[in-house]
Parts: sequence; C-alpha cells; structure tokens
Amino acid sequence: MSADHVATLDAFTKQNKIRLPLASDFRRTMLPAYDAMVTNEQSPIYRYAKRAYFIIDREGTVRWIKVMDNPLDLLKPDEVLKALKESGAS
Amino acid sequence: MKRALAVALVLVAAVATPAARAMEHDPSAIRMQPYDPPKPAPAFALPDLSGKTVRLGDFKGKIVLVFFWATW
Repeated sequence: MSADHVATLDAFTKQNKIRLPLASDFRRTMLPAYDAMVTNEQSPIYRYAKRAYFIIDREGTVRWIKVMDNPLDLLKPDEVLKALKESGAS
Repeated sequence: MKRALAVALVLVAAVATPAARAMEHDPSAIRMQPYDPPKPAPAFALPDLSGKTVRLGDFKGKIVLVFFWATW
C-alpha cells in the first residue's frame, strides 16, 4: 500500500522490476482507518503513509502490528515471518 | 518516489559506516507486536496497478500482510 498515485507506482515497479502486488491509497481513505498517516502539519511528509505493518488473520482480525516512528526503519524479514507463522500462516 | 529511493540508498550507506552503526536502534524495539485486544481490520477498496479494485474481502480465509510504504 502506498499514498502514491497508481501511475507513480506503475513506473516505480517497472523501473525497479518489482513483482509485489501494490495498491494506491492516493485519496487517503485507508491510511487514517489504519492510523498509518502522518498528521503532523509541520512534517515534510504530512498526509503521507507511515511505514507500517499489519497482519490480519483468516477471520479478518488484526493480530500483529508495527507502525514505525521513524520512516527509515524497517522490520527484519525474519521478524515479519515469525509473526506470520504465529498467525497461522504455513 | 525518487526521494524514497534516495533515502533508501542513504540508509544503506549509513548502516555501512561504523559511526552509523552506533546510532542503530535497539533491535528489540523494532518488532511486530500482538494487537491487544485484536480488532476487526478496517475494510478497504483501493486500485491496483491494473486498475482493478482490491478489497480486504478478496482475501477472506487467508492471512494478509498489509505493508504501508513510507513513500513521499
């Protein structure tokens, strides 16, 4: 998910040969619902996405989250896989 | 998007230096956390790159990882 426009994401994926499924929240409909939008008007990334992870189980319930305070931080893939496995993913 | 790439490159370069390593965050502070109490995920309907609308309901019965890119 990204707050970028579809055309931007399309160009980015082609340029960088990315195969992940991407969706655009250009209208900011999803970000506030997930409390994942920067709302500090003083921030240079005001109304853009925080870097955030959500794991939703088979019943549609949010089970694991991580919303980064610093957008430069990334979770380690092992940490995400661990949470996925604990959510029942094989 | 270019700025995001630039930031990523800067981050890689920074992590590669000893001075930057001293500034790394405590790894234990960067972990996924159980969402307690668990709550129903907010529904969404967003366009994908082919113009098709992606809905949370499309993934019913599957475990879903939603990842927001911090792009700007």
